[in-house]
Amino acid sequence: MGKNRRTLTRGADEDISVLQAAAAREKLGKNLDANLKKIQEAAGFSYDISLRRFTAGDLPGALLFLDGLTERRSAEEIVRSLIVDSKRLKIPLERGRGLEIAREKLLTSDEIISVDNLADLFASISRGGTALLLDGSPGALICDTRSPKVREVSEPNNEIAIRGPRDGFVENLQVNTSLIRLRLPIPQLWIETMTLGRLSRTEVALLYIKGLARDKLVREVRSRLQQIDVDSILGTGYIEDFIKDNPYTPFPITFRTERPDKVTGALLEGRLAIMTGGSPFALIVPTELPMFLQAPDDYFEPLPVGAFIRVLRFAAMIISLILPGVYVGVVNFHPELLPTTLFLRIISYREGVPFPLVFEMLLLELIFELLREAGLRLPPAIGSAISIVGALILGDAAIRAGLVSPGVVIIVALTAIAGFTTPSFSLGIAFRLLRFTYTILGAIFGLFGVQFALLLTIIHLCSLRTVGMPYLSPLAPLILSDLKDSIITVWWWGMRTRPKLVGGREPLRQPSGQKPAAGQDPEEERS
Amino acid sequence: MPLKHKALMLLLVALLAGVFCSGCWSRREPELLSLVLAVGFDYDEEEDLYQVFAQVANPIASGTSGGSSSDGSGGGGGGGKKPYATMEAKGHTPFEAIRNLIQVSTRELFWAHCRVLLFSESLARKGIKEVLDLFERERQFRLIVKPVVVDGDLRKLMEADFPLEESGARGLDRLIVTTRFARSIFPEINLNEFMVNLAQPGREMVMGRIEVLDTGQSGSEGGGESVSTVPARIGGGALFRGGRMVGWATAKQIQGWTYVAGRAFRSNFVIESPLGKGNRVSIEVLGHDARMKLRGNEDNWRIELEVKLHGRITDYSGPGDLGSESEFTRSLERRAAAAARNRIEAMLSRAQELKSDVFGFGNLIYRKRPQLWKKLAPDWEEKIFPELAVDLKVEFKLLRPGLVKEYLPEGPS
Amino acid sequence: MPREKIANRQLYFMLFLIRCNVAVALLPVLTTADALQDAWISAIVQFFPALLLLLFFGSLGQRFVGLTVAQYSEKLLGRWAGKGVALVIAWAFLHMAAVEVRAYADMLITAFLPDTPLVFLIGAMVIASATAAHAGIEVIARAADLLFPVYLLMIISSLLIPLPQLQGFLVNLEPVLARGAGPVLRGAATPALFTVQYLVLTVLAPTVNEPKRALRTAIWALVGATVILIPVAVITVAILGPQLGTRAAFPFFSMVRVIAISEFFERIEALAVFAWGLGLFIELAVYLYCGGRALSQILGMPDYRPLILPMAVIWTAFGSHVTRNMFQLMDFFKPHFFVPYALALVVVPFGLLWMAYLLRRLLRGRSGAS
Repeated sequence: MGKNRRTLTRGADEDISVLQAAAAREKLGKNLDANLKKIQEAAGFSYDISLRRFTAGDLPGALLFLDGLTERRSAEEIVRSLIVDSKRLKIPLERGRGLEIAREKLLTSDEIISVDNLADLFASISRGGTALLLDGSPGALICDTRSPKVREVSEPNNEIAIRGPRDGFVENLQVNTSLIRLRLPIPQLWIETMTLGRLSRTEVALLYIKGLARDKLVREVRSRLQQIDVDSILGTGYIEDFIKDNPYTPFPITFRTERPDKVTGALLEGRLAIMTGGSPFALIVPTELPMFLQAPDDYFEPLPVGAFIRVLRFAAMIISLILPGVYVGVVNFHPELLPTTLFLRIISYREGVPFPLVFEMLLLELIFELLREAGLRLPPAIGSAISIVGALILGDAAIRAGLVSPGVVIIVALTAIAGFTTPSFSLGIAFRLLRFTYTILGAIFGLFGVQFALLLTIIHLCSLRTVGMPYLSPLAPLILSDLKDSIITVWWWGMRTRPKLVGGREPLRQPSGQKPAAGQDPEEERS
Repeated sequence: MPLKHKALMLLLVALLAGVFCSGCWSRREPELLSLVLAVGFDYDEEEDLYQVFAQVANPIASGTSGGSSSDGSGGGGGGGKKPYATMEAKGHTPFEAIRNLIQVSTRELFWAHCRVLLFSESLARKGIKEVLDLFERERQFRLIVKPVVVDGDLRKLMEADFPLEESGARGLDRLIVTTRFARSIFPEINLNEFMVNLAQPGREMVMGRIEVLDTGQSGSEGGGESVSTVPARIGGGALFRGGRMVGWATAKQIQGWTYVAGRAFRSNFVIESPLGKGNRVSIEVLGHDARMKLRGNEDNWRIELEVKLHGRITDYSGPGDLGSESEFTRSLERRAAAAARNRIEAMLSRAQELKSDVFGFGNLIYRKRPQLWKKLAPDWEEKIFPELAVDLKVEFKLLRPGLVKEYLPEGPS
Repeated sequence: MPREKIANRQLYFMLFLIRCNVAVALLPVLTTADALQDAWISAIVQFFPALLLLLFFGSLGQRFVGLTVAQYSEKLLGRWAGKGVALVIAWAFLHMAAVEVRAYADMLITAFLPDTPLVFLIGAMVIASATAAHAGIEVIARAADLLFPVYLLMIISSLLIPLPQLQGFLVNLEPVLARGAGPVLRGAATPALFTVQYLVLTVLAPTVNEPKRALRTAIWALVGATVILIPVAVITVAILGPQLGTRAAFPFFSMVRVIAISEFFERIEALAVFAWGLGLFIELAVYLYCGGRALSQILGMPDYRPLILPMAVIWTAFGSHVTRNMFQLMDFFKPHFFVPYALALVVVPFGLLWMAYLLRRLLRGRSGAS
């Protein structure tokens, strides 16, 4: 079984790209032994390659699979059908047509594909397939014998909805797509797959609702995906960077989510979803900024609450961006804007503090970021405790030591809390970066500096597009009919139209007049 | 290093320098500021200089933060520092005087929170135009400060200690601003209103008056001893002509003024009851409506002033049934109207005496008949206004007697 | 370069902001002449000559749908004369942009940042506008979409807040028309001529979704801005009084300063200044874009973008030196200088263009008849 390593016959030290290209070219001929030798050598006699030789009738054959990836008794099944059934059913395996006969008449696996080169064979058995080689037939058959070793479907940690479904994606592409299928049982849910990544050969799936998503959009996304030529795609995050319109922006251009209900909702608006094997995150394109402010809970709460929460989130987003800058700007440049008692308090806080205000602010923010990063790395039980306790104690000790003033601590804490309300992690990160710039500009030019920074941010946001769609719609360009789902929400019977730019093909989601009207009082009817 | 990189580095350094250096143009660290809460202007006759007093707040004592390093100041554990300080300086113009304050101030003065503007009587009589201009022009001053004229020693007032308040300026501010029940005897206006009205042709203004009381305090003593006497009293006003003060008006006269031009809410006065001698009724005014009308034509014109007040009874201990409308209540109303009328007439005669048209009759003519005003304007102040006879009609409506209708009888009558 | 398209609504917002901004900030109805308490009547009166002026230069563009002024002036007057005319218009953009950014910077320095050198404030505004202009008219239009409601909200709040106290101040508006119509007309002169700003329409018209309605959109923008201007004038004059109001350099802000809601919210003028900054940003970006576009067409360049940087630098330098001090700035707007200057900027180029156009029609008609 060749468990000892021998040197590869084909050149001791070739580059991987050469080896890969060679593997792709290497065809599997009719000679069984020669094929097996090629495979083993190319794989360096890796220990998890299992080989099961057998003879069906008078035809030598072999099963090749990788330990641990296949279901335990799959090889058994295949061998039985080839040896036993063939004899029983009187279907002999003819030399030269062995694989064909096996496939059409004997094998009982769910899915059988045929491969003719080394690279494809190995890719298939790496996914849990079992390769069947028969002497005299070129190529090999791959039977689907995957063992479903996947994580249990559970609620994603980072996207918690209080009143929504609790399933989330896992690392297996089949399971993930199935979660979407369950919610959209129509044939128009099209799932296209392609293999990306030279070494990782990752399966990437593109989902959309045919007839709802614009064809142009689908073509554009598809072509962008197909243009990706890299070593590996280890997750959707890698793909994100390659399909961006504007690679230099800190703002998230695609929407990542682990929740099937969000993906389904997006698909129903005419958007596209991208999923890969190995990653529980799905990407949604095209995206708009208001999407990052929506949380599933908004839709499940009665209206005034939902709308209020969303407006609150929007305000929190703005606060988390400008509060430190405004504070520094006002206190340093425009104290006349503050009420007198407040200003006196701030002055009294700052008595004896050795650093300029802006330095305090930046220092505290930096410390906060450090704490946050540290909290992420520690195990959950300790991590959150350290972050919170650390922040409190550090803040208090720093105040006591006279290094910072209480006012600044409050501002930084408020800003951080406001930042946490953003449902989307990636948007939050963008804001954290920008906040530093705002603070510095506020320290140099006062409120005028904050205004300047704000203008530059607005210009940047206004010029962003995802797959051709403007990033800030429906705020800019102003599409009044779409506003109902961006800054506020409305009742479900009010959501009559789909977002214009994306779902324009089928603008009406539901006919009007869905609003429940007060019905007859059942008591009255009787009398 | 290529030029592009050099430029970028320079930009970066410039930005960072802006962050750390405290001399970044207009940036001021708050602890280097001293908030001026009240300012007073006086005029020194002999030297022909303006004198300014500024009262600043001291944040260490007024803020109770556990954070500030109290050991930095060395010695003196707690107390010992008053929450405010007063400084003074002189100059040829008000602005110069203010700048000269720097010589005695340890921090940069910040004027934007100043709420009270005091004038000494001598400066008021000389003319306050320069100070008004300063307030209009300089960006740090606000036009919503409240101006007052001080009857007494300005310096003493500024250094005085107010009980219950953390600083003298606060005390002054609260005294002047919280005048809800005193608005009729003290014209509560801000500087903007004052100036706007002054600038209008045919109209003069009054400014509130604050009287310095002698409390027998000997200088300032450390905190801890509660001072129970208030060092100042508001009431009455000063009449101005142009930018100059021309005389005082008593509280009663100011009441007359507010009934016509200002806010008479919660004003009160006492009248004598028609029943029984010596029984006094206290009336509180709840609202007023004054209308000035210009009647007649070019050659034969007159001014009609109609004032309608309404109010309630707050204090009465004599006989009489207030439970229903009767001759008694009507008589009360007539008397109240007469009392109000007295006050208005008192103010009018005082204004005419000082030749200051504080009611704005001239302004009325200007607004309604500009041509007529053009004719009268040159002589208005000196000749026409002092002799002006105004048709005055005052009406008073009593609305409520309070919670009881009749006073407790003293025994079987 | 793909053709950029903006919605008519976005054009409306941009034009509205352009007109409203200066009108509110400098309140020329009050400050440039002696209208005093009748300034609000001037605000109403100025609408009519403004409309006429707009129709004068705007309607020519309607006959050449899809062409900017640089293009159709070359068609009408031949290559060199056409370029000359377009150059005059581009100059108008530059001058207006320089003056307006200078006014804004002056105001900031006077009221808020006294120690900051002028060039930094101007420079910051220029950088922001240049970045926007470089990004394209679509970006500017989207920014206008975003900022317009904010601007409107701020201005309207600044107007609503003094309302409760307004009652007592209304007397300041009397005597109405006491000095006759002369001061009113003088007060209306400069604001009416501010319509020169709308020359941007001649460059922007082709980029709109519905170019045939571009002129109508502009007219509505003029109406909208006037609707805002009138209450602003009324309230400012009432609260500040005519005498103070005329003497104030920036009356609207002085008025907002004087408002005190309660002890807490005393200084809300930051709101109004912020609004000015936002509106100014859009305004300047539009000027720069139009200037760049016009210039690139005059020079025969396919794309205007490379011109933005040099234009921005020139603009900054010009802005710092366009007037020596604030007095000159105020003088610039006085009718005795501004009216003839602005009129020349419009009448000379468009007079020529109209003449050429009418001549052509005439000639063609004659040749067509025969």
